[in-house]
Amino acid sequence: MSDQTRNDARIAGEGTLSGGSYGTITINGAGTISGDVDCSNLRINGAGTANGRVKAESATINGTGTINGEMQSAELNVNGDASIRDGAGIGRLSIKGRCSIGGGLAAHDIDLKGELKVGGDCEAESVTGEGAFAIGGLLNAGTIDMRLYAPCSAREIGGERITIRQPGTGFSSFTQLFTFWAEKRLTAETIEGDDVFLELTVAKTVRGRNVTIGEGCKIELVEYSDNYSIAEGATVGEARKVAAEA
Amino acid sequence: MDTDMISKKDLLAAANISYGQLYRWKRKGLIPEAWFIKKSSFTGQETFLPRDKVLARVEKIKSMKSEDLSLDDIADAVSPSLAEVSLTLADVRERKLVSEAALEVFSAKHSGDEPLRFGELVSLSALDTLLKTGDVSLDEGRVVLEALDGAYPAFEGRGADLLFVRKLGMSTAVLVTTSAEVRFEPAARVVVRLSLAECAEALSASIR
Repeated sequence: MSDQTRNDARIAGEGTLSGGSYGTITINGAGTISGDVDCSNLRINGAGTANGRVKAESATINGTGTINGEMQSAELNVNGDASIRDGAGIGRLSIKGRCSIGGGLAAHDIDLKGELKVGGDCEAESVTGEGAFAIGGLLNAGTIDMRLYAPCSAREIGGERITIRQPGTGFSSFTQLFTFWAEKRLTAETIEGDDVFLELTVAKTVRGRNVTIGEGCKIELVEYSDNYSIAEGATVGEARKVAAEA
Repeated sequence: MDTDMISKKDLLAAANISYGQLYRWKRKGLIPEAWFIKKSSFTGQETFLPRDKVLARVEKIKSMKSEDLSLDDIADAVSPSLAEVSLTLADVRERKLVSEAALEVFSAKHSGDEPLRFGELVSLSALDTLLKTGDVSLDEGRVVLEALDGAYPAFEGRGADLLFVRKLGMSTAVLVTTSAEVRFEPAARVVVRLSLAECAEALSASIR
C-alpha cells in the first residue's frame, strides 16, 4: 500500500463506492462498496453492502451490513444485523442484535447480546453474554459464559472455563414468560473443559476436571478427573471418574 | 495406523495436561489444526492426533514454558510467522544455512541484495533439503523452485506440503494442503512429500 494519506469517503442517501484504500468510510442510507476495501474506520448507518474483502481498524454497523467476502478488523460493533460471507478475524466483537458468519470466526473477545451464527469453527479468548449461538464446528474459547435465551448449538465446545446458564431473573424473567422452557437449550456432541458448569444442555459427552451438571441437562456420558456434581432434575447416563491429569 | 495415533484423552493422561491447555494451545496455533483427526470409535466420535508429533510438540511447549516464554513467543517458534526475518542471500551464504548447490539454483532466479521474505527462505530451505537427500537433481530443483515460487504465496501462510512426482523420466512438483490425500495412477511415483511447515520450523530454529 502507498504511503499517501487516505481519504475519507461518505455515502449519503444512496450510492456506490469503488474498492480501494480509505480513511473513514461512512454510509448513511444505502450504500454499496464494490471490490476489496482497506480502511481505518467503516461506519454503516442504514444498509451497507461490501462486495469484496473488508479490512478495517474498526467497524460499526448500525442497521444492516453485508460483507460478501472476508472481514478483518480490530474491532467490530454490530447494532442490528451483520452478515459476513467468508470468515472473519476480529479483535473485539460486540454484537447487539444478530451476526452471521459463513466460514470461521477468530476473535479475541466476543460480547454477545443477541444471536451469533458461525458456519465453521469459532475461536476466542472469551465469549460472554446472553442470547443464542449456533456454531457449525468447534467453539474453542478460554472462557465461555453464556446465558441461553433461545436454542443454541455447537458441534463441539472446548476450553478452560465453560459456563452455560439458564436465563437470570429480574428483567429477563419478563421475557421468559413468552418463550418455551424446552426451546432454550444447548445441544452439542462433546463439551470438554477444565471447569465445566452446564444448565439446559443436551450433549453426548462432557469431559473435564470439575464438572457440574445443572438443571435441565441431558448428558449421555460424563468423564471427570476431580469433582463432579449433578443437580436434581438433570439426567446423566453414566458418570466416570478418570485418572487425574495435571 | 492406530499405533501412530493417540486419542485426545490418552494424550492428556500421557502428557499430563488439561483440556483447557490443549484447547488454548490449539487456539494459539501451537498445535496445528491438521493434527486433530476425527474418527468414529465405539464410544462415538473421538479425536485422534499423530502420537509422536504431538507428544514431541507438547514436550517442546512445556520446556519453553518453563523458560518463561509467553505462548505467543512459543507460537512464533513452533509455527514461525512470515514477518520479522530479514536475511539477504549473502547472509544466508555467510551463515551457511543451506548448501552451495541450493544457493546456486536459487540465486539463478532470485538475484539482488534485497532481504528475502520468509516464504522465500522456506522455499530455499525446502529446495536444500531435497537436493541434500538426493531426491531431486539440480535441474529438477529448478522445477521445484518454480512450483514453490508460483504456488506457495497462494497458501497465505497456511500449511502446505510439497510433492515431487516422477513418471517415465518426467517429473513435476505440486503443492497441496497439509491434510490433502493425493493419489496418482500406478505408473506415477511420489518421490517425496515434504512438509513446508516443518521446513519453516527447522529454518526458524537454525536462524535463532
